[in-house]
Formats: sequence, C-alpha cells, structure tokens
Amino acid sequence: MKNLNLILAGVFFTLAASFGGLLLSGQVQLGQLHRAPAEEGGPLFPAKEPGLAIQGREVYLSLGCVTCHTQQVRPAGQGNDIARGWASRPSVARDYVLQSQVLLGNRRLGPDLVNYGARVKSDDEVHTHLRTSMPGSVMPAYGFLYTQSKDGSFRPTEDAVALVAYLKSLKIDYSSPEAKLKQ
Amino acid sequence: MSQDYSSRGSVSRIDASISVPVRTFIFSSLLWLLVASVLSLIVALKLQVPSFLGECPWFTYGRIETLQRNAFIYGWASNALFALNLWIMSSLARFELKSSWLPVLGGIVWNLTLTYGLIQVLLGQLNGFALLEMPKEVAPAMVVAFLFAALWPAVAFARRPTGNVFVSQWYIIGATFVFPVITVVAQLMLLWCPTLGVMQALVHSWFYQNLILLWLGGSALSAVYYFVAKESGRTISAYYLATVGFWTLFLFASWTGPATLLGGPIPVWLQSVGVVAALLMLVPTVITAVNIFGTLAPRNGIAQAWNNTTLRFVLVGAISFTLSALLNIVFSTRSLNALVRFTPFGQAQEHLAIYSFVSMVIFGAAYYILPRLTGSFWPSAKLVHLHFWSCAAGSLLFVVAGLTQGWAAHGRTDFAVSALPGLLAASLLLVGHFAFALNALGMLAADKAPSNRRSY
Amino acid sequence: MSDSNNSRPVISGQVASWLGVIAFLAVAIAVITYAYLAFRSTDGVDADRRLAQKALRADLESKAKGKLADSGRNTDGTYHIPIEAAISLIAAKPEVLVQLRQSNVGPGATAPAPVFTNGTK
Repeated sequence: MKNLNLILAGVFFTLAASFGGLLLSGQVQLGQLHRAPAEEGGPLFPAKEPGLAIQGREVYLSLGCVTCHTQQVRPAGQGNDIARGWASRPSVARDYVLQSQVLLGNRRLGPDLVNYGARVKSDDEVHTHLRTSMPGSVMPAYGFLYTQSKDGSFRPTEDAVALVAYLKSLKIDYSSPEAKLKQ
Repeated sequence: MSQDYSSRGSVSRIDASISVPVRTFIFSSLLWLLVASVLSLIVALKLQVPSFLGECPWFTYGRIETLQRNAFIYGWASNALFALNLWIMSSLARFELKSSWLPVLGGIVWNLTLTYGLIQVLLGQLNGFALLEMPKEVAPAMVVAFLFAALWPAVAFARRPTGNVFVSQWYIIGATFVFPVITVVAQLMLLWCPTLGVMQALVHSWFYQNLILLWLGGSALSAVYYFVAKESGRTISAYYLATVGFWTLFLFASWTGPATLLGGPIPVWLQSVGVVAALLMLVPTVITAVNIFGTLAPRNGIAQAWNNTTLRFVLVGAISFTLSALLNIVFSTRSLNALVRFTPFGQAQEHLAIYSFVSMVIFGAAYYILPRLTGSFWPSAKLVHLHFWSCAAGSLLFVVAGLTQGWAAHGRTDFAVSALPGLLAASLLLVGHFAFALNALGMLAADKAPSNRRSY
Repeated sequence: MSDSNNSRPVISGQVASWLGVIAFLAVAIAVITYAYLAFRSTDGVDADRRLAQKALRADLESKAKGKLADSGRNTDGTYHIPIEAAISLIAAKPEVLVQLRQSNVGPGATAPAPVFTNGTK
C-alpha cells in the first residue's frame, strides 16, 4: 500500500460498502413506506398534520428543543420508556413517514415527546408549562413566547400557538401494522 | 528524519514552506477553542440555573449547545487537524509546499463560512441533525474550502521522493478522504433531497460515526503514531499489525452508525449489523493499544513519556482513545445500551473521544510543532503545566459528570446537584484553554511573519 | 513522481496532483450520489398497488357510466336503455308504466313482455 490511489480506492471501498449495506438497503426497505390504516378500510395513520403544527415544527427546530427531548419510544425489552408511561406502544418507522425532518433526538434531559399530544389535557396546560418553570425541572421558562397585557394576563405569540399545536399533534395513540395498541 | 533542530531559532525549509497555512489554521483553531470553551461554560451554567440568559430566544439551551458543538468540531478540532495533517505529512514526505496561498484561502473560506453558519444558528435557522445543524447552503461552501485547505497532505504523499510509507500517512489520507464524501452524501440525503422518515436518522448516524471516528479519530491517531515513534525514539512495536488496525478501523467504524440508534424505530436487522460492527471495533482498538502502549511500556518508557510535554498529552489522548473505544464496545450491547442510552453518560463517552482523545493529542502535537514552526520557545512553562493539569482534571470530571447526571436521569438524585461536576469541568477546561491560547498566541505574535526563517 | 530535481521547480506539478485528488473525490462522490438517486427513484410495492387500485376504480367508474348511457340486454333477459330515452318514452305513452307494474306483480305464464328498466337496476 504505497500508492496514493490504491489507499484512496481502499478507503472508498470501505465507505461505499457501509453506504450500500446500511443506507441503500435501508432505503430499499424504508424508502417507500406509506401511511396505513389501523384496521381494514379505516382511516390512514399517522394522520396528516394540521398546517399550524407544521409551522410549530419550525419553532420546535428553531428553539433547539431536539437537544433535550427525544421523539421515540423504545420497545418494552429495551429500556423502560413504556413503563414510564410515555406511550402505550413503541414507535415504529411508519409513524414518521409524513415528517419533513425526523427529530428522533439523542438525549433526554426532559421527557420523550412522541406521544405528548395524547398525554396532555388542554392547550392551557402546555402554555403554562412553556411560560413558567416547573419546580424541579431543568427546563427554563420560555417567557419570550408570551406577551403580558395590561391586566396582567399572558397572551401567546404566534410562535407559541404554533408550537403548542405541534406538540399537541404528536401522538402515537393508534395501531400500526407493525405495532398494535394493547387494549 | 534528518531535520536539524540543534540550533533553535532556525526553521527548516519544509516548515518554512508550510508556515503560513499552518499558522492560519492554528490561529483560527485557537480562537474557536476559546469561543467553544466559553459556550460550554454557559451550557453547564444553564444546567445549574435554567433561567440563565433565558430572556432571549438567541440563548436557548438548544442553540447554545449547537453552537458549542459546531464551534468545537468544525472550528477548533478541524482547523487544528488541518494544521497537524499538513505538518506531519510534509515532514514525513519531505514536502515543500509551493502555492501556500491555496490552503490559506481554503482556511479563510472555511472559517468565514463557519462564522456565517453559526450566526444563522444563533438567529434560529437550525436543523435537527447534530453537526449538520447549520443551514444547508453552508456545507457546500465548507466542502469546497476543505478541498483547498486539507488535500495538501495527499499531494505531499503522492509526490514524496522516496517510496517509504509510515502508518500515520495512511490515517491522514483516509481521514482526508472521508470528510468530504460523508459531508456531501449526508447533506444530499438529509437536506437537499431528503429521504423519507427514519431513513434520515440512519443517514445521520452513518455520517456522525464516520465524522467522529474517521475524520477526527483517524487524523488524531496519525498524530499519536507519529509522535510516539518520534519522541520516544523507538520503533512501533508489532508494526506489522498497524496495517490491519488501519483497515479494520475504516472498515468497521463506518458500519457502527445504527449501534447508536438501538431501540429506535429502525429495522432490527440494521441495529444488529451496527452492534456487530461496534463489537468488531475491538480489533482496531486492541491493535492500536498494542502498537502504542507496546512501544511505550518497556524500558521505563511511560515515565520518559510523562516527562516529555508532547508525549504526556499524547499519552493521555491514547489512553482516552482506548478507554472510549472500549466503553463504546461495552455499551453497544443491547442490555447495557438500554441503561445508558439518552442519558448524559452517552455524552460523557463522546466527550472522552472528541475531547480527551482528539483534543489532548492536538495539544501535544502543538507543543511539538509550534516551536519548530516559529523558531522560538514556549513563553511560559508554568502555563503549560496549568494547561495540562486543568485539562486532564477537566476531562476526568466530565466523565464523572456523565455518571452523576446519568444517575440523576434515572431519577435517583437532584439534577442540578448532579450537574455540578460538569460546571467545574467546563470551568477547568476554560482555564486550561486560556493558558494554552495565551502561550500559543504569545508564540505566534513574537514571530508574526515567517521573517526570521533561514534564508534559502 | 519526483519532478523537482531540476533547479527550477515546476509549480504546476503540485497543483496538478491536487487536482488529481479532487478528481478522485469527485468521482467517488458522484458514484455514491448516483447510487442513492437511482435507488430513490424506483417505485416500491406500495406505489404500484396504489396505481393498480386507481386504474381499477377508473375502470369500474367508466363501466357504471356506460350502463347509464347506452342500451343493451341485461343478463336476466330484460333490456336497458338510457334514462333520457326511458323518460321520454313514458311521457309519450303512460300506459307503459301500468304494463310494467303488472309484469312486476306477477311474472305470469305468458312470455314476459320486454320490460324497460333503467340502467342501474
């Protein structure tokens, strides 16, 4: 191995092998995945996101939420995500087919959000969580998402409204051909 | 190596020919190092006082950590590795660079583009993929800048007068090849023509592992081999294994991506392939350990290395490399991975690789290269000591912080308290980096232009 | 490899090597990129099934429309004619309706008279 082109060709081979083995074969398996009905003839899942939620994803991205929050729930044998009540089934590849940028995340300084929309009760609950810092939480208050009017009440900005719509759209409360909900 | 260093103050022809680009790279890397250190202190403070700098969307935790990561990898480590690769390869291949303005131009474009990208991140234009967060117009410019800045070692290798090859040269060429390819491919598959759904996560894991293990890790390993052989004056033990180590590293490392997604919504067979590749990383890890420690261990070599500034840093780096590789192997097994995945311990593991390994090796190399490049001594020995001890302690504390925070992530202790070691570590590193930068900038300033080089 | 032994070094030699490395990289990137784009454009099973379903729906729809628009003999021996023709026929000769009802009540022993039904039955 004394020739530059031979070394380069060898390194290219190693990279191309992993590219073909992981990414091309992954593309063959996952690249054409589409929405599927939970039962025969039913509506297709995952449901299309409302327009406001798509705007909210931009806010989510722009604030860097993905640094601390994941959007994936591991199966029961791998970690205790389901036992913690984050979702009642593991997330599967089909859940992400409509997302323009898949934000699986790699770190959990806060809870997982893939099923957050099914866990919260109301918009107000999310707004309160964003506007104020919860006791014992490392998540700061995102006060700049709200404006205070003269009578002391808080009004959410457009970003906050979109972000909440996005967070509430995050749900895996439906059955997928790969992961049935346990009734 | 017949360069004559007996009379300090003179600079060899080879060093003089690459002096301007190497200085440009080292100078920019120093600035980025300071920026990244300050940012990492802010990140650590934010874990203590979440509301710190919380009034403005510019300084959310996510954005600051993104800035820190990119400034550290692309600003500090990559710039420094441009300099290291060029210097080591030129010295091994007896290469005198003729058109040094090309790499300088590349370095300038690289740093300007990075600055632009980081400002965009600060203003909120960021993507969700670690180390590809900058807007999508940044990467093409950075790849072009890379071609100008970093391909000269390959040129030096192609045009070397003798047929000799040393293991460092393979690593430099491999690392140099990997970076532009993975960056272009990942950009294409994530931002320009995005793949569907979780394929994005798969592509990103492939990119990320290649970037860390091959571009950063491969370049730093070349420096480890070079300085261990050079400064100890010994031949690498079991050198015949080094080829195997090189090829197995490049072969297996680029398959380890899915092992970082264990339990995620990707097909199980892909995860298993990743785990197998991660386990196979044991081969290059053991080989490099045999090469490095086998060379240094006999005849009191470790003690000698400890008394040599360069080797002391490189030794800490090599130990960190072996340790982080072993940790990666152990925590790629499914059951153990389930415990630490998503916790700050994973971050500590990564820190061990990109800081305790790559950065410590760069520091060690800088202590060797800069005097030869400028023809002057390091201004202050005290600062060197301060640098080493605060960085070594900081590295160790980061691992401790990973453990305590990981423990807290499992809900056992209070998070802010558990993050204290991280704050202490960030402060120590900041002190160490200022000491290093002060020393290095003093040296570069004392001899601004390469004017006192030996005339030829 | 070594062309710098002359007293005057060839400056373009290094740059030429550099361009060579760039060319190698460009080819490598092009190969991988091409592989990705080639795999990306292939249509998978799901897309094929969707296309087939779409074709089937279009086919059924045109058949149903055809039944409303032209005349012909049904499988049970009755005939169908376009609905406009049936309406004008009944308007011109209302007795037909009575005849129709009778034949519906009892099939009768006699051979069934030609009965008009509208196309969809």
